[in-house]
Amino acid sequence: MIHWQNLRGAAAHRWQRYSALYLAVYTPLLAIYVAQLPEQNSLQNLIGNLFHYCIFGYLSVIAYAFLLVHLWVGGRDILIDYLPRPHLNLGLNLYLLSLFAISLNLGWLIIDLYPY
Amino acid sequence: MQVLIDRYHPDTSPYTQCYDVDESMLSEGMMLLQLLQHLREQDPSLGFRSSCQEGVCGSDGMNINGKNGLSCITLVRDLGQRIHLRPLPGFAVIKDLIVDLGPFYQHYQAIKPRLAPEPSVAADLGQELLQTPEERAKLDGSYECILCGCCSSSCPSFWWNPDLFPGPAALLAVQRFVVDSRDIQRKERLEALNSATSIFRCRHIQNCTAACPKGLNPSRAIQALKHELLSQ
Repeated sequence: MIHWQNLRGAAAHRWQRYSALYLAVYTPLLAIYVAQLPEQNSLQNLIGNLFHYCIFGYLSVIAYAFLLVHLWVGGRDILIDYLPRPHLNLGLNLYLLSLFAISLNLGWLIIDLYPY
Repeated sequence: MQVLIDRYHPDTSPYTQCYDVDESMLSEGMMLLQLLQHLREQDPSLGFRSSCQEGVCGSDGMNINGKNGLSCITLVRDLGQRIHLRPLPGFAVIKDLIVDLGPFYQHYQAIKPRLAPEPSVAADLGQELLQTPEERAKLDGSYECILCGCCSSSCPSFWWNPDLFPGPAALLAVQRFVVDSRDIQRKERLEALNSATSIFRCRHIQNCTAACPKGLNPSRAIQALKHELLSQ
């Protein structure tokens, strides 16, 4: 369980900066990668190519992890500012749970569609 | 000229009162506080604080035409034909332009705004704590704060979490002791700020810097503190 009183400041700030830096480098690479793909491509092929033929899939997994970090730190700061204090712990836990749920769903999608 | 003042008394609903001022009574260098004193002669029920009347005590902070400032160092001629005065935002209003600065002072008290020298040095009251000119120069821009509250009351982070976020004035005071070569509690002072609800609530929108009537830069001090925290 997350308690707002236990949330740290400097470590979160540092990780937010690291994740922002990585995503700033990764996003143009993703754009270049997608631009080189054939126009007609299925999601199954896209995922298969990502993980089977090149390391970009693994870079994408790291990017997703950093995206989660970035979403958590940014989102919890917004919740701290805007949620009424009595509901803050509930809001933070629900938010973290939703991030995990989205990650699980995405992981399941990749495994399900992986053609090899 | 019109002077609109947001009035409040605990026994009545808040309202805005309009005072028509004869411009012939205004002198060239007249300050807003003098105008308020003139209005209070007409209407003794008008409430506002003032003391030194020269921008040193910080007791007459108020919101002047939407921007926080000190009435005693604000020229009337720069404010246009319609002056709207409100109490400092973010604080509970006691009466008219008088706000409860209790939470603001509590944050200041919580950061322990006093020098913590080496115990051996502190025990010897006859010993002078010397600094080099360079060490002393680091204090410039952080010790001049007069605690008027104009910065903290212009800060949305302070409005949202007035009980948790120390506010620009208190953080500027922390910076004053963190950079002081004679203080030995640098690490403890920084560690006290290391929480999600303290210094990292600041988003550096720089309202504090724009509002400070003494021309200080709390936003830069907070940035320096964050840098120190991350460098630890």
